[in-house]
Amino acid sequence: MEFVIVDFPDRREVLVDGVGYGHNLVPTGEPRILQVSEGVHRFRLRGPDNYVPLWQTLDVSDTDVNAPLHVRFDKKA
Amino acid sequence: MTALAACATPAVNAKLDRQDPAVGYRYANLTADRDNGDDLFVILAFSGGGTRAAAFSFGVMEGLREVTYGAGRRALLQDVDVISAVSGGSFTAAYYALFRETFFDDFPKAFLYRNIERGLLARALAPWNWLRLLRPDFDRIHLAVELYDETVFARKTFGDLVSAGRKPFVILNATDMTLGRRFEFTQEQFDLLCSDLTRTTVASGVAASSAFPGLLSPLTVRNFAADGCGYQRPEWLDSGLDPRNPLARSTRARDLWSYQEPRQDRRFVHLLDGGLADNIGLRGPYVALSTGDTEWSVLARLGEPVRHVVVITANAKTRPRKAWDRRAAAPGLVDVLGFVASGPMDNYSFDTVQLIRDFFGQQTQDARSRASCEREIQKTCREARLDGVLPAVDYHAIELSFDAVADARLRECLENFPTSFALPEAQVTLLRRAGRALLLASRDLREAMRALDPAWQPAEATIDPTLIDAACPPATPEGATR
Repeated sequence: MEFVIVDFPDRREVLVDGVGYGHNLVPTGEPRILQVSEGVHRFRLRGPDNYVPLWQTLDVSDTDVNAPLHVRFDKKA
Repeated sequence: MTALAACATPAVNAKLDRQDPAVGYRYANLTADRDNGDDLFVILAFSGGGTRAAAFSFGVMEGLREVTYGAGRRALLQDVDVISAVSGGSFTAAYYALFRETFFDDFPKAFLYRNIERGLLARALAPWNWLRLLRPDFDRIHLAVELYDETVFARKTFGDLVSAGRKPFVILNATDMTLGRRFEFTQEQFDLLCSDLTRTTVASGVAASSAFPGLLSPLTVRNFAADGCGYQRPEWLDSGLDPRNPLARSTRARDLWSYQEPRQDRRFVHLLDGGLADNIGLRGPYVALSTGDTEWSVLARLGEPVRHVVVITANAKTRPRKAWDRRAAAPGLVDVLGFVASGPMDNYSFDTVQLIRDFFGQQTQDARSRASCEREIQKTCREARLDGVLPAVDYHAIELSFDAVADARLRECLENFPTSFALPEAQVTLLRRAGRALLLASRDLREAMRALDPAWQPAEATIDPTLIDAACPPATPEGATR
């Protein structure tokens, strides 16, 4: 099992390979750790495309529950 | 007779004009009868094993009906999200999906206490079927589909399940003979064939799932992919086909894509008993629990909203005594073929149960490791926190099998019931009682229920000794059966 945090300042639903994985932040505003299987995954956010990059395809492996992979999206300027 | 022979074989499956991932027999298109508490995800897996498996899984459901919890005393049965079934277990699962209101009253008479084998034989011997059986597109499996359609499932289709729109999502598992892999009767699978599952009868799915090699012929479904249906490959399948993936993931993706891949030229898919790929019905749930590579992924729902995962497996596997153990002569061809057909199946089932247990164990261990790591950090810096929040989820795997029966005579008796679609009434009733009793006495169930309701207590679960006497051979002086 692999562990991922999706960094984006607003609370948005994360799509992994087109499947909704819940939100990037818990209601208190802290980042939520998502679990994905080892391998290649496409990450994006549901909702307005006011962020870059619009998606990221990453080969996720060798993460740890205490050291998740950070997938970062930035707000468009 | 010529007219009879000329009768067209009803097509098992129809072409899909336009694929729509929001339409058809899919998990997302079913809802609970009432709010089933989205934070609880319950999966049932029913193994193969003929009427023995059907009666055992029915008994487990009778037990589940009695498992109530919380202030409103809701029944756990109402919380079931998915039933994944194979072969004999498919009859129970499909009947429950179609006829929920009358299930407990009608299913025993409609199937469990009925001599299905006699019905199949009568149809095979009926002169009006002889010419049909000579045709290349008609075989014994079609007689089975007709029998199940007419006498058990009232010609209901998967479209009727969509119209009912109610969970649980029942997955009937067969085996694709070319891939040696699980083939499920869901629209997600049939999308790949450009086929509309709503027009297929549930009896076809059950027949394919229980088409034991040799006894029944394979069920053939048409693959309309070459005709096109605007199939849109889901993103998870795109990702899965990337060669950088671990082998298990990319192989599964390639196998699924083989139905659409023009070079493979798979115009027909031949299906046999689901038990050949997975005799316990847990492979599909394992994919859903550990990956996002299916429409009903549980992994994608962890924490939001799922907080409790319960997997209950009704495994009717047996361990019959073998006469060859008492002979010096090597087993004959029939014995060897019987072993080849069922031996690996049983080993694989054991591995699958263990796979789920290991996965749940690892998930729990990861959460513990994180919590203890955080405690250590806070010893030196009280405000320190690890990166992110890992949602708390508890996992419970409940395996119900004859191994857990404490009474040696009863255990040995159950383990020697044959795999057949005709069992004596006393044996069927005993299997039902055993399913219920094993569920209610399960320590794993108690742990699962107390996570939901700390005050939960199981109902009484004993088996009437006169029933054991009626269904089992007399006890030997050592306490075992003869």
